[in-house]
Amino acid sequence: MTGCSSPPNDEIGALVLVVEDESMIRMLLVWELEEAGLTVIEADGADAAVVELGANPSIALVVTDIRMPGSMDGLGLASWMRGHAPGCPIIITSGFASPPDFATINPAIACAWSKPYLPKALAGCVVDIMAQPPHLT
Amino acid sequence: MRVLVVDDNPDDRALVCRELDVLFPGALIIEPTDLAEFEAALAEAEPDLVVTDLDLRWANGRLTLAAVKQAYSNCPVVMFTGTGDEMTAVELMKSGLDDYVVKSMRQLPRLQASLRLAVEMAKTRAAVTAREAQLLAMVAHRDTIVRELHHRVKNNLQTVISLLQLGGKNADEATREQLDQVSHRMQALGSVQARIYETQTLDSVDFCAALRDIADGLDRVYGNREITLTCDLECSLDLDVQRAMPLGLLCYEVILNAYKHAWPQRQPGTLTVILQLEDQNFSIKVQDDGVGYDEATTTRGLGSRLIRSLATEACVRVSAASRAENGTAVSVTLL
Repeated sequence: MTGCSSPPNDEIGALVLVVEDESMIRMLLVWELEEAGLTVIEADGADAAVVELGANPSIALVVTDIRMPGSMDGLGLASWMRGHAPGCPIIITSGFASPPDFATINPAIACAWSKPYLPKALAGCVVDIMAQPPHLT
Repeated sequence: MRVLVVDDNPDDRALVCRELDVLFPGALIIEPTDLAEFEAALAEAEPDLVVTDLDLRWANGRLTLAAVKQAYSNCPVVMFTGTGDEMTAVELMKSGLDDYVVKSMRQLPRLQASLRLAVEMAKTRAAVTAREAQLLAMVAHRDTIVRELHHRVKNNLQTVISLLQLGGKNADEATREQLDQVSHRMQALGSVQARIYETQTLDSVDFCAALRDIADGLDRVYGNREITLTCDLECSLDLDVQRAMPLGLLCYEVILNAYKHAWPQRQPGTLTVILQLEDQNFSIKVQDDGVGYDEATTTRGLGSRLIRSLATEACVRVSAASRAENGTAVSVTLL
């Protein structure tokens, strides 16, 4: 199992993985998360995210886009994490208006943000989730 | 050209073959003499024409028609028979028979015309079917492109917001605030875009949901946990995109005004956004319990100019009532 083994209340400096293929969007989101006091790792797709999750067991939250090139999309990543990083909170960002039933993909999906979102507000949401006591999984 | 002539009478077959030679010189004519030969000929390749008798020693015309149509729905079949009657003709033509010609010297000239017409009609049917498939594929392709563009718009707005805000990171505070304001307006536009119903036409917006998203978005940025936002959106409101875009921006400006000016000392307050149907007109009310403003001394900024301009475009009437220390209520009525 990888991911989500960090101390639950390690709020400041908690390790967040941002998965987004568009570099400008990713860059600002990383910036805002870092300004909010988080440590951030970037991945430009789900395949790279799987590698990062394997290499960094302390990843405490994942923010992922849905539509990305590669062998799987963001929902595929969320589904993969259900088996490999259960309980690790996931925030989905997407341009879709009618999202699928996230709970069946991975119950750890905390929320979905419809594009366009304000990255600063999303960073605030990440901080809020990190401040909550961990879910029992 | 491949023609099946199904008839157990050799003389009748010869008669049909003579007509076919005249009509379609060089055509390959196959004359099965039992069921196995018929089935083998049918399985080998699609015929361009089948001429069949009704009564056969080894089968009957109903069965040959059904077998041909099942294998090749567009293959033309003409029945050439000495038995049968009008009822049979009608019944078989309902099952896909192209024509029915009675075996008699008087009807012989009709056979040639009938065979030619059946082949031509089949060609036309095939062309129409192919064209229909082509058009369906084109429509599906167009739908995919429209859907993709719809998705791209949202993604591109996200990229624009990112570029604007990245540009502000190293700028002075005044510039950063300007860029923030622009990107927040982009986000409000995006809230409307994101609530376009994903139907084929992509032209209708769930405005109630968009309004909630806009208010929630502003609350996240300006709410600072002191201001309680209540959205009382009791009715659903679907608007076409042309109207929803300016109205969404207008509502954004009105709600932004409240957040920015109602509580200058960052005192606790409540902000209510109401969508209701009143005297057959939808209206959106934005009410705060902040400091209010004095009409005479308030200067008009970009927000006010935007609101006036957007009101015309969205076809709404905007009215505001405020009393010093008693909050402000803005009413946006859809005309």
